Amino acid sequence: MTFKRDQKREAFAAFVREHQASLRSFLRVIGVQAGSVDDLAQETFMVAYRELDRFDDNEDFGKWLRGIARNLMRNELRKNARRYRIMNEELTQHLLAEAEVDQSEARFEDADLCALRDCLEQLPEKSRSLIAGRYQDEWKASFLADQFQMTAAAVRLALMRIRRQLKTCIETRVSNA
Amino acid sequence: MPDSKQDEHFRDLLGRLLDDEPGAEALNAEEMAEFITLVKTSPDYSLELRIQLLMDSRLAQYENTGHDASSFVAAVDAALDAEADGDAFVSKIVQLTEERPAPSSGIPWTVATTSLAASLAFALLWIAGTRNAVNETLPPGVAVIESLVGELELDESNRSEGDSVGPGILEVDGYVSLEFYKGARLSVAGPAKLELVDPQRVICHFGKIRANVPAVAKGFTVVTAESEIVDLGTEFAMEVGPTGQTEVHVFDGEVEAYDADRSLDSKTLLTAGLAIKINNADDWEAIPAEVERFDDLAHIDQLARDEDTRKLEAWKAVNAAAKQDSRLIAYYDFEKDEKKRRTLVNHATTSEASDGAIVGARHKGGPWPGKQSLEFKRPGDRVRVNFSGRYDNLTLAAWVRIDGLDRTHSSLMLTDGYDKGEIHWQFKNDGSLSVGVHHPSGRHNYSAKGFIDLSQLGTWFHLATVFNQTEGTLSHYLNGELFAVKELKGTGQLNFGESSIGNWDQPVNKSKNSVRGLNGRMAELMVFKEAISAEEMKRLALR
Repeated sequence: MTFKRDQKREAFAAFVREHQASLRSFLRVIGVQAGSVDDLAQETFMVAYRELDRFDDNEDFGKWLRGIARNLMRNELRKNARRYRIMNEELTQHLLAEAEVDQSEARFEDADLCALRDCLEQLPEKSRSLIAGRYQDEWKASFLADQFQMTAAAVRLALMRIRRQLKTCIETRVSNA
Repeated sequence: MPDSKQDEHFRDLLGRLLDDEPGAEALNAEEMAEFITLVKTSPDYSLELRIQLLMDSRLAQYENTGHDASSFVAAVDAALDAEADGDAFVSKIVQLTEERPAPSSGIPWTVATTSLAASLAFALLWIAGTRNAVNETLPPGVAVIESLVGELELDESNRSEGDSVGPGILEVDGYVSLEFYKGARLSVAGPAKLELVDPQRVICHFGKIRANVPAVAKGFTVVTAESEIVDLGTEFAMEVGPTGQTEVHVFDGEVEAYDADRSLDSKTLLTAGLAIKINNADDWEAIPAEVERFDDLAHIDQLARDEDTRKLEAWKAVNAAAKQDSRLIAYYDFEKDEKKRRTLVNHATTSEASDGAIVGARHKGGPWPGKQSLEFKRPGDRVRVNFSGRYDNLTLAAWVRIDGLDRTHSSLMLTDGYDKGEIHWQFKNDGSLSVGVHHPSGRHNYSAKGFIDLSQLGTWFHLATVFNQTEGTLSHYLNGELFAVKELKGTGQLNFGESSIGNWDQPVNKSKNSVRGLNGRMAELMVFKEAISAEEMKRLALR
């Protein structure tokens, strides 16, 4: 691909917009700490931008990005000082290997986002507030426990159950659409 | 299929890993090893972990505006800009280096370049400023205070977490981590004195620092009396003594070290695992790199979290005492009441003020994790309250976060209309705190300049105003410190009646400045029927 600088930036911005959600989910699924996902996704896009000339139009851009992300992660695993960005070395190695085998979770389309919104709206009020507390306000389970007069263990189980429920709900909606 | 007891154990470990703070509730090494074994041996567990991580990421992106698509796209765009500008900036500096005057001019080279670099930085900021009129009041920034445990002064004025800081002298007592606009992160342990020159350059007079420099911020430079350290994309730490002796320890990547004259002969490349001690220009020695000595600087986030927990505990003590305090007319702690979700409960022991009715405003996070607040954003957002008494002396105290200076006046709490005896507690878009009092003897407006500027938007602070008619003064406190005192220009008892927190009902003049909705959050409001002392104000502000 050859572009003038501004055209290149414009075309690239469109790529970023289209692929950022899937890429960030991908990074989390291969074991990046929640707080470092955006950081690493940004680095992935920066590398992609510098290497854009090497990208072959016939390839899948998402797949190419995931390749860059995997390489960055391998670097990350080699660097002692930066390990705080990953959940755990051995766990991340395992998740990386799993992602090679099963790539079904790689895409996150606009349709999924609409489905997520609808599914969230269907949640009972308490579940909705738990999700809002955990993700909008970024409270941890132990703080949420005080607010909702539950034990921290019950909050964690509830969050896990709700995430499961949302996943199933999205799949049903997308496949029926 | 794994048995149910094992399932339970797996879910417990997974839940703690995903939804709790690293630290107190995170997995210890043994539990982590157990968890990994479970995941590796059971495809079901492995799939469950991947599904939970996937949904965790999607929810974070969907629910949190800080992580939504447009914020992310904008961040990538800014990083690309920074990288492009960074290249230009570095090449400009290199040019200047080549043109520098002979050392015989008597000015130490570091000083000369620093001022050149500084004036260049100012020039760039000035050009940026003139290009965009909307930004002309935005102070020139160099870095953002990411976390702060202790005290920090920039050019002798106290700054807090979340503030942007411009070029100037920074004095640190405690720990601070700074994020520079070009991407470098610098952690500082006090006592330390630094000079922020521009987003890529810092002078360290003394102190202990640790820098983490991503590729986009390559070229980040630390200058000391005896050396100049240029980072080539890495992690390194330095300790600078009061007379300029410097130790540089490189943990990752590489740095270039020069003497104070930045002579090319002195250029020394240090790679990961190496360290040097520079006593003066002629005395450089290699020493072993010591990671542990700078460990505290890698854990400022943890210290900041501990500090948050301490603040929350301190606040809980203030909260418990306030609920027993008979001097309080109103005590709204802004915690959500699950049974009365749209009511802002008045916890004062007296019955002179009503519970508040929440209109529009929504519960959000407060100044520390575990503390709630109400967010006022849309023009309709407000809390309706009603006070019955009349008072000689009064104190208003609140935890407030201001997110925008978008209207001429913004309400903290305003009485409906502006009748005799009524008070308007508000601030203006020039950053001044403006208290309007319709004294029975006549109206007067008490304004205190410089209460907030654009660099402090989005940070929490404790604000209080004390009406002391016994002494004839009106005093404002910011984070527990006296910030302005005015002489009261009128007399007579004060009252509120029906009022709005975060808005204005029944404006006096419908056409002029009648929209006064707050853009921000409030996490506590106390109204005392007495003038609170300076001593006690510190306690309320958790100082």
